[in-house]
Amino acid sequence: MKRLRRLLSQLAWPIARSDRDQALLQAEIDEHIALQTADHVRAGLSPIEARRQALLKFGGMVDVKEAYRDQRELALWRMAKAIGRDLAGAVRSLAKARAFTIVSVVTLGIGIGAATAIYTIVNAVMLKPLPYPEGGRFVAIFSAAVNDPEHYGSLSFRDAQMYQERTHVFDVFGWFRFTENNLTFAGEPHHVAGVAVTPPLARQLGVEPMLGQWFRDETGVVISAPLWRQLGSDSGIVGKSLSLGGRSYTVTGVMPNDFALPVGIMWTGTDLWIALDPDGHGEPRGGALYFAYARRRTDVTFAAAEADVKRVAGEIAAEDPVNHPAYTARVFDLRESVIKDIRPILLLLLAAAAFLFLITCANVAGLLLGRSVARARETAMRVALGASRSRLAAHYLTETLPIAIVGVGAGIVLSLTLTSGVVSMVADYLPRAEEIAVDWRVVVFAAGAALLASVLCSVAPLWQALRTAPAEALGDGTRAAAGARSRRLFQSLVVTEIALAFALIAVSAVLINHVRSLSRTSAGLDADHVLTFMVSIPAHVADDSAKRVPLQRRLVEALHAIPGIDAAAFANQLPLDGCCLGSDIYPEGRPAADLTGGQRNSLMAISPDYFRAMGIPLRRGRLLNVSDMRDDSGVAVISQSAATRYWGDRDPIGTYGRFGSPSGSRFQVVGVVGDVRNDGLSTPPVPDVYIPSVQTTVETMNFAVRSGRPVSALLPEIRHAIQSVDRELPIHQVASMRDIIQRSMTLERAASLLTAFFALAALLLATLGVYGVVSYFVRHRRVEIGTRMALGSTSRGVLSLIVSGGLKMAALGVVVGGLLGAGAVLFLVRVFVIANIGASPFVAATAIVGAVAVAASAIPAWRASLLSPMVAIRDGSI
Amino acid sequence: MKDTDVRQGTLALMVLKTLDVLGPLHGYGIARRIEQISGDLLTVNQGTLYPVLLKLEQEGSIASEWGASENNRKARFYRLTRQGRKQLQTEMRSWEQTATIIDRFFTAKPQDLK
Repeated sequence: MKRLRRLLSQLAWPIARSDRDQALLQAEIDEHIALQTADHVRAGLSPIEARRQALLKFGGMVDVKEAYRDQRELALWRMAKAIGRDLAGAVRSLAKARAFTIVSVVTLGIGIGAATAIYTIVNAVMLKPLPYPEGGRFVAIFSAAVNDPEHYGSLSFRDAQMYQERTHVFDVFGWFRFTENNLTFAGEPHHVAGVAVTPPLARQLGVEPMLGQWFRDETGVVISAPLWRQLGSDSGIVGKSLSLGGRSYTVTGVMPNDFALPVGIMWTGTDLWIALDPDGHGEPRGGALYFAYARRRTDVTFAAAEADVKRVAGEIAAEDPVNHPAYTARVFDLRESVIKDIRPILLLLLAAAAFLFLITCANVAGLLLGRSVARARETAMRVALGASRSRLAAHYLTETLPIAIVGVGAGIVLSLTLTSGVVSMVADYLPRAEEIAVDWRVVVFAAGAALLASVLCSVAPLWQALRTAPAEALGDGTRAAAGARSRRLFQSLVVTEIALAFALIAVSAVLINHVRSLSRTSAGLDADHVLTFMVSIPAHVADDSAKRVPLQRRLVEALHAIPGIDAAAFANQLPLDGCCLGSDIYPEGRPAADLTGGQRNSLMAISPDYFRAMGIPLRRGRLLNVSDMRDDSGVAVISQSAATRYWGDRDPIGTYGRFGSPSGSRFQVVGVVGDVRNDGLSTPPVPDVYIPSVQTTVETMNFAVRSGRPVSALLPEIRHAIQSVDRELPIHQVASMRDIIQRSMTLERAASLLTAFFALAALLLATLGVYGVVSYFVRHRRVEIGTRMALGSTSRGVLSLIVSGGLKMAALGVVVGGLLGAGAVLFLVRVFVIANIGASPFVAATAIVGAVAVAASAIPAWRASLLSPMVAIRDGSI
Repeated sequence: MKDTDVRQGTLALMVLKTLDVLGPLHGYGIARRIEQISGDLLTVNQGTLYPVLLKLEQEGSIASEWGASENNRKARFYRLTRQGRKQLQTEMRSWEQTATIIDRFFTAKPQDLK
């Protein structure tokens, strides 16, 4: 290690000292003159004369400096020339060894490509700053329950106002809510995803519209670049009016392409922004629909900002305990809030890619080592003729550099394909996916990876070359030189490869198992033959129950009229599709001490046919029916887990509970239904409370339709039925319930697919490694093998001797890889909430590695067993 | 050109020998020592010493570090490395050989060759 360091420092010598050098020389000369002057003064000269004499004696200052610089540049130039010579030589010799070159380039290309692909994603998603000026100071504020560290939610309007009034640490503060709407422009209806935002926040984000300007009041709308293009790319659109949910707005601006508010929102982008009145006029009361963004003042740390927000949260909870049970706030760095869900998976993939990269390096190192051993004589000659260590190192490094350079080209091409594949797989879950692109950072990363690869690859052969005594290599030929030392080096390279491959296989086996057990998990409903879609009704209709309820009933009736439809219903939200809008529940007759507010639940506002449409079984009591669809019916059906959570051992049927607070609106439990895995297949069900849809405002209706007919035939009829009720209502977000369930597993699927891909590549490379090293040994042990056979060893004996060598390496690799894999699996269990791993992934991985090791060493072993002893002994190892 | 090559070569050898005998020294110390021993050789152009020191350092024969001079100011001290010591021995041997041969040539008289 020390030797290596010295070697590197010698190599870097001329480069490291450039500009500084002249200044140092000047200091050195000054001191020289000073000392000489002092000596002259001691000899009796006057100070002025002493200095004059000293300068005279020193000679031409300019000449000295020039000679000094020349000497320095000479060294640089010599090195450059030597490297150039080495490079040219390397290219020549690589061109000759074509198979070796192709295999190494492809191998390195895979390693660099995989690492670069994952890095491209990590770069855009995790490393790039937010697209706002000063984006690093923005935070997001959420409400949270004191007793639930994992979940957090949006704010009520009043709370957002309180935070703005009472915090002292922000210089920008604002909040927004999502608003889905139907837009009509030039007679065409569109469904759009909008955001209503307090105007000061919009303006203070620091991003100006590319056309026009931000709105000043509630009549203005700013649209996104994609929507602008969709509406015909009219550069004179500013000032024109469009209709949104039945209200008329004036377009005041068009945002640039990369603008995002909110940042990193998944599913779909935002089409338009409208003003949200900071005083809350016209906002629904009581709903917690708002997300707050704030910017820290420059002199405020994140911790201080967080403390201040929590202080205000404490005040809010103290002043209004009824509406704020167990209330606190959560503050996230805005960029952090966007990436924290995806981060563990990206890190996992980055680690997997790094493993693969290391394996490719080990593989190429093994190939180079083989070459270097074969050329031990040549190296010994160089050393005997006086090649210094640094020259030798430069020689080996320049030999791998061309491979790495071509490899990086192959790698970038591969990474482009791989990146787009990954992105299309997990686009729904990947925040800021639109920003993913190859930029200079990615190129620098790839180049760095290539350089690292060539250094890593050349270490092993260089080590071997340095340990070779010239006399030994020149005298005994390659067999002795390749001796035990390089054999151990070879073996440890292959063991490393096997260990890394084993860890990757174990991880991907765990993930594959997990995905399989997830897809076997029942969601608690019968997802086959269920088609879902959304219909959003305009706000002015939704707000008026005299208009809304009949419209919704007519929509359901129109669907029922379609032949072949068994059940049709709607709800305010769908299970497994983003969970969960809830409300606090307080069962009556329970001791006050048990009342724990703030626990997560899911409040489902449904039409009567919902249970039948979804196939959710009734456990006790009765389901909701048409006669319950009145404002004042006050009935509810709860899920099994809600019954256990809120009623405990008591029978909930016929008892009462209250929403929101112990004195909130009252409901009677009439039935208990089965649990639905609404929050994801791997997490326990969140308790469901079902109430009739008429009791609340369902603006976005999530329809579920059960029918045995094929979707393609059904969909036009559904569209027709909806439009026969109201021509202005588009249907959107069409997906079968199966799709929704599949989608809920996207991350797990993507992770398992990618790690499986990495594991497969790793296995392939490790196989090549085992094959390479075993056949190398066979070549070099021909005399020994021949002698054994001549002395009576059977070909089976030879076979098992060689295969057991391969197996030994595999066993070592499995032990080391087992430790690595166990660490990785522990991490996985935390990220994916995997319940039961068992030993099977490790058993499978061991079996795979063992089988591959046997197969890879059996071929050279079989070849060896066919040797004629005579030939083997006579030919020796050459 | 040739002249400077030879002079540089001899200068380098003198530097190595000086450092071998006296241990770590700064540039002025080396110059003074060589001046004392060689009389005139370096009195005109002490400055030419510095490119030679750089060359020796690049070749790894000497190493340098910064320390304080006699009058307590920053100065660069040079010392011989192990490689330098080896080089000194080799060069001294070859120098002696060369010197012997040249000496023989110069002292040889026509009658000796008969």
